[in-house]
Formats: sequence, structure tokens, C-alpha cells
Amino acid sequence: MVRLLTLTFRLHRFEILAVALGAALLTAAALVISWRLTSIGVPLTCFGQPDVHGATGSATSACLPMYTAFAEINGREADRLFAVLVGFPVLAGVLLGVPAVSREIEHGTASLPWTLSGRRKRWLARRVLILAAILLAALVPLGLAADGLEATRNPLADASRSFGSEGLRGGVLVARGVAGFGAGLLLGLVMGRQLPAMILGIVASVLILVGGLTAMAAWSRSAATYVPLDQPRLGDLSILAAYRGHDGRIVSMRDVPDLAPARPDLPPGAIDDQWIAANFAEVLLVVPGSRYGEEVAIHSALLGGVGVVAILASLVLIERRRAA
Amino acid sequence: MIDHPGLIALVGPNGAGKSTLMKVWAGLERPAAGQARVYGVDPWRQRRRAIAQLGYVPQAPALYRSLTVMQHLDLASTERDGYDVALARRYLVDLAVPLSAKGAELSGGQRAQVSLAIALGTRARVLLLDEPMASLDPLARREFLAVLTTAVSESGATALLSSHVVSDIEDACERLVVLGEGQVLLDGRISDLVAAHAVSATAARAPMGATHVARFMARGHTKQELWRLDGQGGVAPVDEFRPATLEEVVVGYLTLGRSGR
Repeated sequence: MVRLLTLTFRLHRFEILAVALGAALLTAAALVISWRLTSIGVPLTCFGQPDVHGATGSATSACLPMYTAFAEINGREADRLFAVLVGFPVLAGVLLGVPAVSREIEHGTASLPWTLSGRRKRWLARRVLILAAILLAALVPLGLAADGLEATRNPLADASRSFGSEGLRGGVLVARGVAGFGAGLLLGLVMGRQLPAMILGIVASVLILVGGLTAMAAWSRSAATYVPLDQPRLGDLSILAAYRGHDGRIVSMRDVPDLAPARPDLPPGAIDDQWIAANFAEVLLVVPGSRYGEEVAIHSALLGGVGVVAILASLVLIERRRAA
Repeated sequence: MIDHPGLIALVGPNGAGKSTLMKVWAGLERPAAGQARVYGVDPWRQRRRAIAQLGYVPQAPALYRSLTVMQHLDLASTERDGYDVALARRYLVDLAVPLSAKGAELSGGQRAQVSLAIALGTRARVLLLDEPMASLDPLARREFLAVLTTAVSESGATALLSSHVVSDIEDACERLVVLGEGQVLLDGRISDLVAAHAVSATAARAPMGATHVARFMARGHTKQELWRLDGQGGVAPVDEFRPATLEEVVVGYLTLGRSGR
């Protein structure tokens, strides 16, 4: 096994080091940013103030310098890190998945292992297991570090029950990498050339991510409930704002003005705010933060499932693939 | 059907399908038509069982640029049950191939030697060598053939060597198979085949008990006629007929294979 690990590392040294180094740097960055945010020492009470920037009241005045420093690091560094985390897991997966077979076919080396043993499936399975383990070893700490950063930058919300930075941390981050890995592996096997497979692998992974987001948007709709405008809690996922009539009917913000009775004293097209306020209450359609764990499980299963299906398809197709 | 132990030359015109045939036997390609069997086993459907009987040396050595020679042997031992690393290593040491050199650092001759040694380490009953010497200089070819003939005689294996170089075939092989039009045009012991053919400058008068094979381009850019002596009488005592050389037999049948029977 050690021999197999050593050989696989030597054959995929560049991509393994690139993924490991990238993940290590990002993980370290998340930890450092978390530490810097924590070290400012903003009291929790400051986060609770509705108008912390307003400089009204003694508490706000005391909070302002610390909160400003906190917000600056959060906006400048944490947001940028999470922006990088949109693409990194997928790229890491594609970078490890594509060359696993395509490089062997492109360089003409596939015929060596394939003619030494007829068990191509075993050959691929062992390689996939090693590369996937490396991918997971790189992404799991990154996902946890991103979870930690989210908890630090939104201290009032329980990160495990909050939709903040949804999809960019925890299990979904790891599953995105698995999806990229599976897509890259399958395309590399079918195409037999690294560069085109890499490009198509990225495109396919983006489509998979978009598909995942679309599916989760549909799930969010089914899981969402209306709450009064002033009731959403930190960590809830807000989907849209609307009005609720006294009879419980939900009306969209766009449609409410049309329901108002004609008012000759108002100019045409003006909104009768008084009438709306008298007959409707503003509500938000939210997915409660308590369902974040469920969302992560479904989203991760979807993306990871696509990756695993692609890997299984590769294990089937390898038996029929020509060596060059 | 090839079931003779020893070194067998496989010759055919370009495009005759020699490489394809070897790849089909090695389970790397599926036959477009017909069937291939390795000791009765379909190498595409029952690849594992078929490959257990085979060692394969491709035309372009399939070596990893980033692995050392020794790591290639390690890789072979992880892929093949019962792989004989010591045997492969012994051949390489005898040939003074540096075991610590990476694939990218080896010369063409060394790459071919490593590729052969990897195949020999399988201790397979059948070795398939797909023009492995095509890009080698004469010295490297000679060294390659020396290792191959020694290994085949020691192991009692059957080695099928695809080559266009008649001198290599003459030096190393016991049997010759000429392919053309998807068929075996000629198959037999080299000494018997040479003895059974004659050459003439003209086809005007046939030797006694002989069949015309082909009109081919001989050395000196002259056209010659190749005859197969089917009878027991041998070449008729006519001055313009003489015994064929192996090269003339091969070229004659290659011409036949290209132009059709």
C-alpha cells in the first residue's frame, strides 16, 4: 500500500501539491482571519445593536471603533476569502480528477498497467481512492475552517443553524470538490486529453453547481415560511418580502398597490401607503436557520452523489476504453 | 493460431494490421471483425485471464517520465500478481541500465530495454513485441535481440516479434508469419521457407513444380520474380533461377500482401 501511495504521489505530484498547498493556504487564511476578528474583542452586545454605526447612545459610541475594525476585516478579508471558496473546491476536484486517466492515455502510458493486469477497474479504483482521499484531506479542514470563520464573523448566530455563507463552508464545500473530481475523472477518461478535459470539466462542474443551487432553491421554497418583518432571526434564509392581509392572504409587493381602492386625491400611479399599512402587514418568506443542517445534508448529497455517480461511470467505462 | 515456443517474426505491409492484432491480443482493442483468442480466452471479454498469459512490449515504450526504472518495476509488481522483480532487475543490470534513472532521462535504446525487461518480469507464456526496435540504432537493436533471444530460450515462452528489419528476423527468429489482407500469407520455419522459394529475373519460364508468388522490387531497383517451390524437385536447372534469400521471400510476400493475391 505504501508503494502504491508513493507511486501515485510521484505520478500526480504537481496536482497533489497544488491542491494541498492551495487548501492549506486557504485554511490558514480562514484561521488567521478568524483569529484577527476574535482578537479585536468586540463585545457581543455591540453586535446586537440595531444601529451600531449610528453613534447614538453610549453603548454605540463604545462599540463603534471596535466594530468598525471588525467590519473592515470582515468585509475586506473574510468576504474575499469566501469569494475564493466559490471556485476553489471545484477547481481542486477537477485538477485531481482529470489527469487520473487522461494523462495516461495522452502520454501513451496506460498500456503499461493495462497490459500488466487485466483488472483496469481495480487499477482505477485504487487511484481514485488515493486521489479522493487526498482531496478530502485537503477540503475537510478547509470546510471546517470556513465554518469557524462564519461563526466568528456572525457571533450572534449559531453557525450550525445559520444560512450565512451557505454553500461555501462545511459539507457543501467538500461535496463541490467531489463533484468536480467526478466530472473531471469521467471527462478525462472519455476525452483522453488533459487540456480539453480540464476546460470541459470546469464547465461541467459549474453546470453541476448551478443545478445544485437550482435544486436547493426549490427546496428552500418548500421549506420556507412567512414571518413578520421584524421577526426573522439571525441565520434565517430570507427569500422574499411580501404582504399578508388580515385574512392571512399573501400578496406580493408588486401586486398590493393594484388592490388599493381608487383615491382621486392621489396622483395616478401613486401608492396608497396608508391603506396598505391599514390592511396588510409586511412579512418575509424565510427558511429557518434551524433547517440549515437539513439543507447541508441535501445539498451535499446532491453534489457528492453526482460526483460518485461520475466515478462509478468511469469505473464501468474504463473497461471499454482504448489505451490511446 | 500460434502455438510454437520460440521467437516468431510477424511481418506485413504497412496497414496490414500487425499492431492492431497485437493490441487485440493484449486486450487493448476490440476486434472490428472476427475473433481473437489467447489460449481459448477472449482477451476483450475475459481480459484478466488472457493478460495473465501475456507480456506486451509496445512500439513506443510506455514509460512514465517521472518514475525511475526501479519504480517501474515496483509498479509492475503492484499490478501483476507474481511479478518477478528480481528477474526484470537482473536483465536491466546485465544491460547496465541505470535503475535510478527516470523515464525521461533514458535513451531510446534504454527505454526499449526497460520496456522489454518489464514484460519479461511477468514470466508470461506469450510475449507480444509490437515493433519495439523501430526507433533503435543497430547496436541497440542487437542488444535488445540478445536479451530477447536469451530470455525466450530460458523460459520456453512464445515471443511474437513484429519487425520490418529482415536481418533482425534472420538473426533471432525461428519462424516467420507474413500477414496481408487480413490473412496469413506465409507461415513456417524460416529455414524451410527460404529453401522453398526461388527467384528469377523473368517470369517467362517457370521453374519446374513452382508457383509464381509476386513480382517484387529487389536490390538495385531491379524487378525480380518470386516462386514457391511446391513440388519435391526443387529449382529447375535453369541458369536464371536461384535460391531466394529471406529478404527476397519477405519482400515478395509483402508485395503480394499489398497488391492482392
